[in-house]
Amino acid sequence: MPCCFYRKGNPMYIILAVLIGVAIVVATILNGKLSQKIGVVNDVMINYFMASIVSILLCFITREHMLSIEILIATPVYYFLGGFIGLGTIFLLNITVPKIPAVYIVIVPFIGQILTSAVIDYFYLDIFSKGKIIGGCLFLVGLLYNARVDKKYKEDMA
Amino acid sequence: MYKGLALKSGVLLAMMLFLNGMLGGVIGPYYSNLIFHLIGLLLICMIAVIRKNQWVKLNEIPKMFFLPGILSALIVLLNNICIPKLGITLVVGISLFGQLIVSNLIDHYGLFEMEVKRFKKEKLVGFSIILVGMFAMLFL
Repeated sequence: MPCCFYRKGNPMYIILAVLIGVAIVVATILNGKLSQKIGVVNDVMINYFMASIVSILLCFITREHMLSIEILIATPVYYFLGGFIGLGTIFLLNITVPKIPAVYIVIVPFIGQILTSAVIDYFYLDIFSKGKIIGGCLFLVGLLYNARVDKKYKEDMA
Repeated sequence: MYKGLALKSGVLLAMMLFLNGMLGGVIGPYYSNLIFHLIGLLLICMIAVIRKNQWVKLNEIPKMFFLPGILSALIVLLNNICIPKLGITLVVGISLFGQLIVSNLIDHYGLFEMEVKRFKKEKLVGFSIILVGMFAMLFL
């Protein structure tokens, strides 16, 4: 697999990936506000309820074929763990975010995420490259630099 | 201890994206998205019952707060679509870049009733480094 893997792909996917980030921020802000009002459990429930409805609609709109039971049974069970992990991380982040300095809220999970991603890309998707490690390190430097700028201004204000 | 937990949540997030992607490879990104949210809905309902949760009336909640659920469906779906094409690392990297830009815009203009925090020009240095990092991920 060539390291310049993306060139085979469509730049559209890069734009879609940026959109994922935009959606994550908006969803996180609104979820944070709602869970302060009605509690985490109710907030998460409404979230998943709406998401399930939208997911069903999306399946209809795209006219996906009916899911056959045979395929579902043949699928390895651990493939379904994503749903459990998704809920687990919501609660995990809920515990950790109030306890660690704001600077680390983005950076520490990012380190875990990017390292794990690189390992998975290497072993399962076979699209590892040096650029990803170098890029990940540069991300970290940039994040830490900006965090220091924020911290400096906060101290000036205080 | 809590930093360790934060690190683990990052690890779990990456694994979640991977498993969703693999499931999507078998049953398609749309059904993978649906199953992800149905499992989550079922679990959170069970948690709510066990914890004897105080229920809220849906009509008392401002409509704006139904948006995150819609976005959540789009986030998981777009991840399922992008990861097979770009790999997880790249999707995580690019989406973090999008997060940084939007969160700074929201802070600068005080959108979503957030406290206004004007953008500091020094932060352009950090953003440039991150941008170089993104190009390294794409091109090297």
